[in-house]
Amino acid sequence: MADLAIDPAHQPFYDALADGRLLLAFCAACGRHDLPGTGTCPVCLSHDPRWEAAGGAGTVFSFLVFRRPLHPDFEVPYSVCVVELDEGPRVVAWLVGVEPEDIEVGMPVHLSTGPTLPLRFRREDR
Amino acid sequence: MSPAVISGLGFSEITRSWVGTAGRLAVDASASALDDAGLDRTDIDGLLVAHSPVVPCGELGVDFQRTLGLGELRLLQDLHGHGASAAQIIEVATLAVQAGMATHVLCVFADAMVGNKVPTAEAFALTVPHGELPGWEATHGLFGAHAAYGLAARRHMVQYGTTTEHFGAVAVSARRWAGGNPLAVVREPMTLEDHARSPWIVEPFRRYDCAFPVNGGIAVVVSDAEAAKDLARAPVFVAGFGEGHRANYRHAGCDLEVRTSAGTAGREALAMARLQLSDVDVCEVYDCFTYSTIVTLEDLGFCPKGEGGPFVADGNIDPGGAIPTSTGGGQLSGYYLQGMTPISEAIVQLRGDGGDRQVPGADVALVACQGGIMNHHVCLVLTTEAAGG
Repeated sequence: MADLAIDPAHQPFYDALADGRLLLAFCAACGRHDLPGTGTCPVCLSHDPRWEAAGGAGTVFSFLVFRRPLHPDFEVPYSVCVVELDEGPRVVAWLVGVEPEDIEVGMPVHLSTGPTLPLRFRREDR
Repeated sequence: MSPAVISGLGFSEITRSWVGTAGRLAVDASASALDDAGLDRTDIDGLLVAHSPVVPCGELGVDFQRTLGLGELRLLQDLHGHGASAAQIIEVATLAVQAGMATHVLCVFADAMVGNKVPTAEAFALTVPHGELPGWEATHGLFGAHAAYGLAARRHMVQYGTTTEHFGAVAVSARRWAGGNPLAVVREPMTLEDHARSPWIVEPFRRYDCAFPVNGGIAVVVSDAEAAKDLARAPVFVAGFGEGHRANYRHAGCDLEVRTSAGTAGREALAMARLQLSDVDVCEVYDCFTYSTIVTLEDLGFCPKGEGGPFVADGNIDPGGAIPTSTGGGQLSGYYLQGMTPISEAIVQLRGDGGDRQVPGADVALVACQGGIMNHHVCLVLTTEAAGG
């Protein structure tokens, strides 16, 4: 598995992931949620986001099915999704328990991650 | 203020095998452009360079002045604007010439994606950051620009009903045009069935939805029109240019995957040139993937939003079509040298040098370059006559 280059400022995010929780950078000044980034809110330019756990609900924004092997750690076929969380941010993740042929844009999903990456979601019937 | 013209165009060898560094290819392209213009190195007083991220700045950066043995310059920049930078160096050269900063500006781009031991397909398997967590994409197996564009293409398919057959129509059209371009790296005829049979790389893209990486360099000389009057080639006028940029906030509400700033860039460029979309004879786009031709034509306004798929399937971009597009085979079948692919083909067409692929009466070319993942757009309007002429 490729190595993450963890920014020390993002360490709490990865520590929480190891516990199965997805933290978002929440800007109390304007109420915006983002994935960890530069630490500056692009809406109000505040530099003081605080960590807040995502509710875990989202929908599939887009997805791919890799058919040609590009890396020895990833056996094809495998799918990669971008999930739009209900809080707003879009995150690259895996959808488990769903065959690539059955993935649809707009499909409701819920966080189902374990102690290791990749970040996983499961289909949710809402 | 004297208008700026393109007085020279030069190519290095363009190949899918290793022949040397990007710096060396840039030297060959530069020498070819100077020869084409009938200029000597001592005539050059401005140098602008651009390159892909795989090329080190030490090879093709501001030090390229020394590599090329140039004397004192009045303008020298290494511009980093992702894929759009080739068009941006033409813009900067034009502005500099118009402002009197320089008389003959050499604009150079080169790339050497395909390495000594790197097969062509693997050359594109770089991770493209989707967010701001370093390594996150690779950890999830999200490799390649084709993945980033594929995610965008999927949105268009779902929102507008665009199909893989529509993508195929773009690929087949590009191949038809490539058949008339001796520099194109793939020229054998292709059908829609060939496209449909080509293997999936990453759904929704098949092999023939993706450009082939190549090694090569292209150089353009932008000159003061008065100073270029007696040069070897008929001038091509830089009549207009415009940019449009949108950041992808990776957040709900952002739709640049299906609605890009190519529209803004195109409108600005045509307005500067005092021309209409209906005046455009050839359109040269940055077709790194078939989808980008479809969305770019929509955003430029050649067809309504969402109708790009049927528009290309109806033959509008083919030889003899309503708007001949990517007339050298584009990046898909011609050669992938970022923005220099559409720019060079526009110059070829306006000079009437297109041979078997020449579009009759091509006097106005709209060039649409892009960079990032659909973030950065730069359009040029190139013409055979001076604005208002």
